[in-house]
Amino acid sequence: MSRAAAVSVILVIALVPGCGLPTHAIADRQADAWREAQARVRGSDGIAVSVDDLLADGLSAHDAVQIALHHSRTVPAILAQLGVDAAAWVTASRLRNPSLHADALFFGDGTEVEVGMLAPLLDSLQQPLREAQAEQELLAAEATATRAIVAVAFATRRAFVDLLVAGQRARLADEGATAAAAAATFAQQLAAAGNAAPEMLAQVLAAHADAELRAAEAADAILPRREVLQRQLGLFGPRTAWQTQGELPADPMAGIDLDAIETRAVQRSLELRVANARLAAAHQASAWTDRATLLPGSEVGISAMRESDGEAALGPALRLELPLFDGGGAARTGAAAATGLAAARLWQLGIDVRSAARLLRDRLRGAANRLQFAREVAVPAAQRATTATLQRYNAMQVGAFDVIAARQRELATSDRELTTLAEAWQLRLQLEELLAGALPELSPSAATGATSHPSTAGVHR
Amino acid sequence: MTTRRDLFRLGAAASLGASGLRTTAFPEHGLPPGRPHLDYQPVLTPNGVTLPFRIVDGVKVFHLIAEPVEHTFAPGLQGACWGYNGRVHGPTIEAVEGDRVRIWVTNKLPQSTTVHWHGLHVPSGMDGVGGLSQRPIEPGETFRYEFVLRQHGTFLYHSHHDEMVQMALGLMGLFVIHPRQPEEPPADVDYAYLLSEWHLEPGMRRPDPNEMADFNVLTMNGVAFPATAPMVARRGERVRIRIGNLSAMDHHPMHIHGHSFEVVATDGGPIQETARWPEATVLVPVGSTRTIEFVAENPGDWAFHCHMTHHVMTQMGHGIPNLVGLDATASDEAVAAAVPEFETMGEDGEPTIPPNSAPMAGGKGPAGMITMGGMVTVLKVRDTITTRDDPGWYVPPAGTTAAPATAAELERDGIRP
Repeated sequence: MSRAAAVSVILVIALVPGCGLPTHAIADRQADAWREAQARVRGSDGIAVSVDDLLADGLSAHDAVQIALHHSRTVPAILAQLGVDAAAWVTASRLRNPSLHADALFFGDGTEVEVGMLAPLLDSLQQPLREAQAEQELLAAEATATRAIVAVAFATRRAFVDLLVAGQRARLADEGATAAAAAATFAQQLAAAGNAAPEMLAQVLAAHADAELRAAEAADAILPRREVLQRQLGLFGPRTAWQTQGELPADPMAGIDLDAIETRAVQRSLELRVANARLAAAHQASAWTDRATLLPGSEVGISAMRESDGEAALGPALRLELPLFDGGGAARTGAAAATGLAAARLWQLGIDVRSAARLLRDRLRGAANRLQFAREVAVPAAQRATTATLQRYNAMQVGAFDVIAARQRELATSDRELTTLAEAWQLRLQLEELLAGALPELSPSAATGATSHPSTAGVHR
Repeated sequence: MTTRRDLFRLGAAASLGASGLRTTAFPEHGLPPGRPHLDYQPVLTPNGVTLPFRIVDGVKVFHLIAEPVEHTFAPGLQGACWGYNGRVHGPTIEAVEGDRVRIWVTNKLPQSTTVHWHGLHVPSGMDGVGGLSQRPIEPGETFRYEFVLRQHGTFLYHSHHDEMVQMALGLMGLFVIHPRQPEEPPADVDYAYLLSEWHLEPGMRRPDPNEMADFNVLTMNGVAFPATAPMVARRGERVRIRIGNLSAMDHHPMHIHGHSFEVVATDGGPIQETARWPEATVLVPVGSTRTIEFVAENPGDWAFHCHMTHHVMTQMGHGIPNLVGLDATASDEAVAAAVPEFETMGEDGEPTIPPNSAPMAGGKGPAGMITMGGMVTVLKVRDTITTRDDPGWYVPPAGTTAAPATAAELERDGIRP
């Protein structure tokens, strides 16, 4: 074989095996992520009418999700981030460019020129592994983007439920304040007739003031919840004047399938898909790290030289890094550890997804049972107590204060029913989000079962 | 030949005197049993009955059955009570001084009981105090009480075992003993009442024995006005009213309208004529009887009632604010805004009251609503009567009823209202 042929073989070995992932794959990834997210989220279909029309008719949960996904800039941002991530991995999958060097030395009798080109010796051998790793990382990035879009949809629904609950709670608090106002009016009339001791009047008026404060607090609590939803919807200016449509649906268990919840949650989990891809990528990374550390920094190429007397020569070039101080052992060990870490994370994530599925299912059932008890037992019992108190009032056994107090107890029970309904809906949304593939961030209350809603109706005598 | 009436006279002669010792010496076997309508005029117990008897070997034999009773205090108001022979209160036991009586007491209650013959001079072992005079009568047992009646007058009988509970639930009755020798002047009609009090919250069925102060159902012979049957008398008749009080905690000043009377006897015996004085109200203490007599000389419908004003209400609540002087318009509107079902008391027809409860007052009278309930009845005096049944409302002669003033009348009398 001639020298020129030998050089050609070296160049082919160095450069030909592959050029990495194509650039147009980035747009495909973005489209795939968006399509899959839509398939996983109810109400993610396009907006048939204008956003203004949706807002004008009173905002429903479905409308809110549509606007959040199609109108706000959140989804484009997520897809752009996917593009950024994908581009990085496409880039990483490519062969490293060869380097060219040229030297010119000026002698009295002429000029000596040396030209050479070097390419990483093992890059072409590692490239398939790096491309495979990049492919997995791209899958992970795509799943991450899909999960982010799903999360946007459910964050919107949760914000919508929060807003409805705040409105309903404010109305209950208003009724409580009305009852307290009635007691205050009655007490003032009694006092005017000379029939109320100052201490009694003061207590009733204080209770009224307290109830008014509670009502104001409940009304103020609507505003931050409304703004959370405004941000989800991406609205500003005149478009922020929308009103919600209806109240919280009465049945949080309607149409939800709780069978085989763990299996379904695991099968649908986007986090697990990400973790799986990252584990595969770590495997690939570990493999090419093994290869890369055999001859670190080695490059091959060709070198051409022309002497000052005009004689020219062509030959192969080799640059070797001597592994005297770093033999690559640490890098290999690190890559292996990263693979172990990814595997452990995948395992733990599976545990977490299953745990969340069980917890949300059982807490939803518990909340639904409490809701049923509240509706079928507690609220009717409180209503019967009010009726019985009214009858005793009619029989002159008790006074108007007792009737008002019974009404306040009834309102307090209704408030507890509302709290339970809200809790059940939030749990259901978290469970639906989990089944849509996104492991929700479980709040401490969701994890422990604690509720933090204060009663707004109040009971005062 | 010694006739029955002679024997009566004999018994009367054997008396040590009504004005001195109250107990009369009679043979241990007693005198021949006194007969109703022949030897005495039976009492009338409005809303009640008299306990029947039979004569066995010269002994008057009665049978009392202590048992749970579903009792009606007033229309719409029932109570799960304890009584005798299916009644609250028990039937009036009626006999004659000198009678030997044998009273069988069967206990069908869920707990042991006894019967005490209140005011009667009986052998100690017949006194009916559980644990003191006898062992209690256990459920299912029948005990015999037997003694000679050595006095006459108005007496009582009641449980004397777990008294607070058993009397609060109704175990009591009247025990009337007629004199062996007819009294002078005789009464033309003889009514008997037993007063008592209960705590029965609206909607409840079981009188509460634990109540010590707030009794809200005040009864005459176990019923509250307007369920109380009226007394009926012909004008000029001598009327006797026997009043016993076995209320838990309250004495009752019983007041009659349109007449005055004399207290002729207590549960200790008759009061000498020289010791009596006229009055229109007699206080009947707890655990005592008073017998009053008067001539019904004033035609009309006359209230006879306890004069404690809270005792002429039924199921009156005491947990309500004082509404007198209240301008209710504003407060009613405010309460109605908070409680849509709220209705103003006394307006818009008849508000719904709790089940098993009675209006606190409001018997219908000839001139409108009678704003009394509870311990109230009516004496109806008529020029002519044929029965003691309710003759209906009195129709006063023209010009004898209070009526709105006319301008001319006011002018005439110089009244500037």
